[in-house]
Amino acid sequence: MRIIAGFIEPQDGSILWKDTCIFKNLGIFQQQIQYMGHQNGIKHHLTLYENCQLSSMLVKNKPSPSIINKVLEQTGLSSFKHIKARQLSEGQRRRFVLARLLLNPAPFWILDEPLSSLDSDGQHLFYGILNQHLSHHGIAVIATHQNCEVSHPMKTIYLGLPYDT
Amino acid sequence: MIHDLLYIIYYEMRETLDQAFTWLTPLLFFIIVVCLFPLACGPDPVLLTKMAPGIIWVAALLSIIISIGNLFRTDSEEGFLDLILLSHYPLSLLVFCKTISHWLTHCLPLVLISPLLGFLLHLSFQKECALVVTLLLGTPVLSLMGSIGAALTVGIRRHGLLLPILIMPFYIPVLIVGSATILAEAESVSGYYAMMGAFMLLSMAFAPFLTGAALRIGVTQ
Repeated sequence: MRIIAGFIEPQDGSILWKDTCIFKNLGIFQQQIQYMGHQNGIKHHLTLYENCQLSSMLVKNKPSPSIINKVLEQTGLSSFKHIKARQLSEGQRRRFVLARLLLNPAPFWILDEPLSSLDSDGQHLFYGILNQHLSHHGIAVIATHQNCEVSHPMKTIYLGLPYDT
Repeated sequence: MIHDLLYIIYYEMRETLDQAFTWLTPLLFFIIVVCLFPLACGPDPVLLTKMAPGIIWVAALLSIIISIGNLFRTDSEEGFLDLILLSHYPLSLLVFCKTISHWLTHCLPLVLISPLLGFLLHLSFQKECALVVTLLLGTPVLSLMGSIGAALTVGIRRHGLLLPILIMPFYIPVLIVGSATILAEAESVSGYYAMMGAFMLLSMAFAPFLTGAALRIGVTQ
């Protein structure tokens, strides 16, 4: 997943985005993606709201404070927004990463195990956000151990050997 | 854009100041190292005055190299580094912001406490002033050059003393000129200041680019 996001150059083969290798123009490509990795990308010593602001500083289209509040409400985090991230549970931090997907819209999502640490409500929320993204002509590459319940056409690639061999 | 970058510096600093030990330990380390010398070499004022610039400079250098190693570590562990790498701002600009906040939280306290330590080592008032000015000009160089090493070693888990070994040799010119400035006679001192200033401007111009490039290599480890 980190290779697809352009963090690491592949030793073999290439990754094409709109028919050009992503490493030719990495900056342009990386502006169009949202990456959700194993780590949350949350600063533990800042509050959730400050984390929202800080991550929005780094992207081109900054969300307004009202959008930030709306998204935090949508992801069920508005009552925690002035609490430092280190005091929250892992599931709440994972929800915040989902909120960030909504805050900084990008056409291409790269999600590495997005369902980990999420409870069933959180998983439901994730599928809602994902379906909304896909119905707006978004693309997503998802690595997961679960079955993905998406209402849009998808291509599944099984990596590694199946268990029964 | 300036507004965004200032905010990034502000949040960086808040994060550091929130955990007192991250900025306090390098400062205490600096003070303790300086205080060890009079204990080890004896309280002879003539000897101490002669050695004071070297002692304070070496102590500052050690303290900075310890603190700079963690410049990207928390960000890397929390995954925030990925957001920095994906940003539309040039990476060199963002690492420069991080280095500025490192300087403000880790090096500026050293500069502010140094007159007190100079007093402890029997420095005259004129030499005290020279000490503060050289540290003001020199510590940004140490921060900026250290950030290159910190970026290179960010992906290595148990890097231990790798960073000091990697970066210390590049600190030597600053150390030589820095301590020589304080010892120089009043009439020849301006040339030394000019040289320190040149070091600072040179490192400001080139180090952020090198740090950015090093970071892209560092995260692949």
